[in-house]
Amino acid sequence: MWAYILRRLLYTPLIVFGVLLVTFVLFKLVPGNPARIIAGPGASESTIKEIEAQIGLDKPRWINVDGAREQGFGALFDSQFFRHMWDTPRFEFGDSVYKKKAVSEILYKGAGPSLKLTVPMFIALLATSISISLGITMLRGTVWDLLIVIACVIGMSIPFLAVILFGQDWFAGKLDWFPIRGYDTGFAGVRYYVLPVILGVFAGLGSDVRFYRTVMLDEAKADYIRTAYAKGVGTGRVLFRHLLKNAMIAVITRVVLAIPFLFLGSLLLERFFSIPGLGFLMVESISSRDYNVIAALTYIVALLFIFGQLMTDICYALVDPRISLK
Amino acid sequence: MPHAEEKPLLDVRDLSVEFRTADGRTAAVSNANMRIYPRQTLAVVGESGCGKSVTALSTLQLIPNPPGRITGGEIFFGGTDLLGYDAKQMRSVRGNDIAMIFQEPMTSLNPVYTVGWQVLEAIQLHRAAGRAEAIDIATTALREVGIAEPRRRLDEYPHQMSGGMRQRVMIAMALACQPKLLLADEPTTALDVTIQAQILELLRHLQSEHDMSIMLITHDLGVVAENSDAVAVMYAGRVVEYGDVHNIYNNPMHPYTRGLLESVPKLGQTHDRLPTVMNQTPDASVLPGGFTFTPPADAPRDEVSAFPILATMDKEADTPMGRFLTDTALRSPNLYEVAERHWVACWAEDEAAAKLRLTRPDVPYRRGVAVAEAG
Amino acid sequence: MTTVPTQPDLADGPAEVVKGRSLWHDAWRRFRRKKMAMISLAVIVVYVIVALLVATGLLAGDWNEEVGPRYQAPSADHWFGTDIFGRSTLRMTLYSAKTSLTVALFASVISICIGVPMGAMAGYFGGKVDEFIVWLYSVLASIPGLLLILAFAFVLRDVTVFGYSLQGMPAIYLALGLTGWVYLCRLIRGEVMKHRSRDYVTAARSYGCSQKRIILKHIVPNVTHLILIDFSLRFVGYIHAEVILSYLGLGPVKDPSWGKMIDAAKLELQRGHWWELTAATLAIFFISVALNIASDALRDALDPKLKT
Repeated sequence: MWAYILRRLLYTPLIVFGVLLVTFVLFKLVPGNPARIIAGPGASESTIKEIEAQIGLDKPRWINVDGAREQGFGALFDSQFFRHMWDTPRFEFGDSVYKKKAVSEILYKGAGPSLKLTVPMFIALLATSISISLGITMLRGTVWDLLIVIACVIGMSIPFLAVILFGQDWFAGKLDWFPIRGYDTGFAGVRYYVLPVILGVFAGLGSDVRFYRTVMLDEAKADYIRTAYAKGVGTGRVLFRHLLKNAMIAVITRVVLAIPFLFLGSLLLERFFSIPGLGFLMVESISSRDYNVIAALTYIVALLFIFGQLMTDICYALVDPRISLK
Repeated sequence: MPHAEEKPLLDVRDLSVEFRTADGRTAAVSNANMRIYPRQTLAVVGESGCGKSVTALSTLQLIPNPPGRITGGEIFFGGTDLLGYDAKQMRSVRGNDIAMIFQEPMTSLNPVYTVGWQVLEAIQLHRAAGRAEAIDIATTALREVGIAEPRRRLDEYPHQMSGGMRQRVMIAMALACQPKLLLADEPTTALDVTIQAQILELLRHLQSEHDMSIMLITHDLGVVAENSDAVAVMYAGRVVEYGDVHNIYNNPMHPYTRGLLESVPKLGQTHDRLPTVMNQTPDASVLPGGFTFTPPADAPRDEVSAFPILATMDKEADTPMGRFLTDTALRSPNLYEVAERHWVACWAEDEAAAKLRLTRPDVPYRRGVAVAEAG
Repeated sequence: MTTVPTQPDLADGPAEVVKGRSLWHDAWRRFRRKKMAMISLAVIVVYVIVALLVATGLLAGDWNEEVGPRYQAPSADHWFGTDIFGRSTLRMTLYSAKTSLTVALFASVISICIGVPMGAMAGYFGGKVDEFIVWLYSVLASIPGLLLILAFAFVLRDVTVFGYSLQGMPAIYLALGLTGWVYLCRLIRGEVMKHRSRDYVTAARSYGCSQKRIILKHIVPNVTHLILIDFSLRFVGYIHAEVILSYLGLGPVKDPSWGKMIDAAKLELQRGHWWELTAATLAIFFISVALNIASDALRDALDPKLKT
C-alpha cells in the first residue's frame, strides 16, 4: 500500500508540470500583448515598451540564448517561460492588469466567499443524493424507483442557467422568500447563501442520483449482500455497513470529479447572486481579458483537483484492501 | 424403522414461486414438495434454472422481490410456517436456525471487511456474546472447518485466501450459531475437484458433529450418491421424481431422471458419445402449453406418454413461437407414490398410473437404517 | 418479505432464442421494443429535420425580421412572443436548433476523432505511448473542463489558420472538441486493454494479422457501442455547454442560439418577459430528455451482459 501511495505522490509533480505548461501556452503566449491593455488605448510605443520591461515581456519566450552569451549560463533561464515555471508554483502570479493589484491578494479575498458557497453546497448535495440512492436501492423495481429516475432525467435536462434564472425570479423575486442578491460577512451573510445553495443542489441532484443509483444497484446484486441477508443482517445494516462501504470507491471518484462542477456552479451562482468569490472574479476577468488572473485561477483550481485525485487514490488504498496487493 | 415417527424439520408444501420478467410471468417453481428430517441430507438435483436454488432461497425468503414472488404454498420449519413470519422474525431465523452457503465463495464474502469481522457479525447478531467471547466462538468455528492458525486468519481479508479457504470461512460463518438446517447451494461447483471432495467430507463430518440437516443443491450426481439420504429431482420448476437415494439410483422411473443418470460417465464403461438429457434447457418462460419433455430416443414408448412435463401458464405470454393464451395452459402432473419411499410425476389418467397413490413425498430419516442394515 | 437484491437462478439459464442475427440487428430489435425509446428517437429526428430545414434555408431564414412591437407576449400570431427587437421568438428558437445542433455535432465528432485513436493506441501499445497519452489526459483532466473550454475559446477566436479566422462557430466547437476527448480516451483505453489480452486477439495475432488490422478490424468494432453511447450523452453535454459559453460572451457571434436566447433573457425575466427564456429552455429540455432516454435504451440494447 505504501509503495502505491509513494508512486502516486511522485507522479503528481509531473502532472503539475503539465498544467504549468498548458497555462503558460494558453494564457501567456497566445493572447497577445497585455502591456497594451495595461497602457490603455492611445498609449505611445515607448510607454508600452516600458510596461513590457516591467512585467518581463521583453524577455525571450522560451530560453534566453542572447542573455546566456553575454552573462553566462545562468541567464539562459531568464525567459518568460522559466519565470512562469518558477513564480507560479510559489503562488506569485504577478499583478492583475485590470485591478492593478497583486493577483494572489485578489484570490485570497475571493476564496472565503466562494468556500462559504461551495462547501455547504457540496455537503448538502452529497448527503441528499446518497440518501436518495440508498433509498431507491430498497425500492428497486417499484413505481417510486421509476418516478425518481424520471425526475432525475428531467432535472438533468434543464440548463443550469435557466434553473438559476427561474429559481431566482420565483423564490427571491415573486415569492420573496430570500433576498435576490447580496453579500455580507459573518452570520448576517448566511441568508444570502441559502437560495444559491438550494439551486446548486437542485441542479446537481439529477445526474448524481442517477449515477449513485446505478452504482448501488450494481452493488446490491453482489453475492456478499445475499450472504449478509442470509446471516440475518437487517436491511438498514446491509445498506449502511455492507453496501455503502463497497460503493464508496465509486462515490469517492464521483466526489472528486464533482470539484470542477462545483467551480462551474459557483461561477454562475456567484455571478447571479453577487457573491464576490472566485467564480465572480473569473467571469469578471474573462470579460476584461485579465490573463494573469485567469491563469492563476486555472492553476489553483487544477492544483486542487490534482490534490483531490491524490487524496482519492490514497482513500482507495485505505477503503479497498485489495489495492495494496497491486 | 426407528425414526419413522420423527417429525420433519423442514416441510415444503406446494411451493410456487414466480418471477416477473420483461416477457411476462415465469413460474420458477411450481407446486414443489419436499421434506427434510433431522440429521438427514436431502439432495436437490437438476440443471441450472430448474428452480432448485429458488426453492432454497424461498425457505429463507431471500427471493429478490421484485421480480420474484412466492405465490403459494407453505414452508414449515419445526412445525411453524416460515412464510407467515414478518421481516424481524425471519431475521432471527436466518443464520441462526437455518444457515445458507453459496456457489461462489469468491464473491460471497464482503471484500472490504476482514473475515473476522464477518464471522463476528454473524455471531453477535444471534448471540448475546461480548467481543472476546465472540472471537473465541469464531476461532473455534474456523478451527472446526480446518483452517490452520484461525486466530491470525480472522484478521485477513477475503482476497488473501483461496477459493476453498473462502468456502471454509463461509461454512464456519454459517455454522457459528449452530443452525439446525444448512442450505448448501452448489457449495462445490466453483471449486477444484480435489477441494470439492474435501469440502463435502467436511460437511459430512460437521453434520454428524452438530446433528444438523442439510439441503444439498447440486447438479453433480456423483456428489449425490455418497452424501445424501433422499433425492428430489427438479425439472423446469417441478419436482419430477422424489425418493430414497437408493430407489432413485437403482430404479429411476422418470425419463428425465434416467437421462440424468445415464449422462454420468461410469468407470469401466466405454462410450462413443455420452448420452445427453436433452438438447437444450427449457427456459420456463418459453414453455408454451403442450410442451412435452423429449426423452432419449431409446426410451420405451409407453413411458413417454406417461411422463409428460406440462407447463402451467396462468396468463397469456409471448414466446418465440407466438402468443399463447390461458386456454392452452395445462395442469402439471402430480407426484404419485410408485413404491415405498419413491414418488414420480405422472398423469393419473394413464392406466398404469391410475393405480398409484397420490401422496406428499416423504422419505423419513434413514441413514441410521442403512448403517443397521450394513451391520 | 425482505427484498434481497440477488440474481434469480433463472437469469443464467435461458437459451439463445434468436440465432444468426447480427449484434446490431439484435440491439435494434431490443431498442424498438421500448416505447419511450422510440418516442425519444422521434423527438430527436424532429430536431434534426428542423435543423436541416434551417440549414437549407427553408425554415426560419427570416428570423432577423421585425414582426411586431418589442416584448410582445405570446399570442396566436407569435406563439412565443417577440424579443427586444420585435423579432419572433419562435423563429429564433427554430433557427437556434441548427446552431446548437451544429455546435454539438462538430464538437462531438472532433472529440471522438481524437479520443478514440488516442485511447486505442494507449490501450493497445502500452509502454511509452500509453504513459505519454495518460500524462496528457491527466493534465487536461486536471484543469477543470469549463476553464479549459474558456481558455481555448478565448485563444482560438484570435487565431487565424491559413488566413481563415476561427472566430465564431469554429472557435466554439474546437474549444469543446479539443477539451472533451479526455473522458472518452480513458474509457476506450481501459476497454482496449481488456480486449487486448482476450483470446480472439491472440488468435488473430497467431495467424499473422497486422497490428493495424487487429486494432481496426478486431478491437474497435468491440468498443463501437461505447462510442455510440458516449456520443449521445456528449451531444447533450455540448448543448448545455453552449449555453454557458454564450452567457460568458464566447458563444456564436452572428446566429441566434438557445444559449444566446437564455443569456439575453436574464434581465427580461424580472420585467415579466418570460417567453424567450421559456422557449429556449424548453427547446433544450426536450432534446436533452430525448437523448438521455435514448442513450439509456441504447446502453440496455447494446450491452451484451443484459441480453435476455
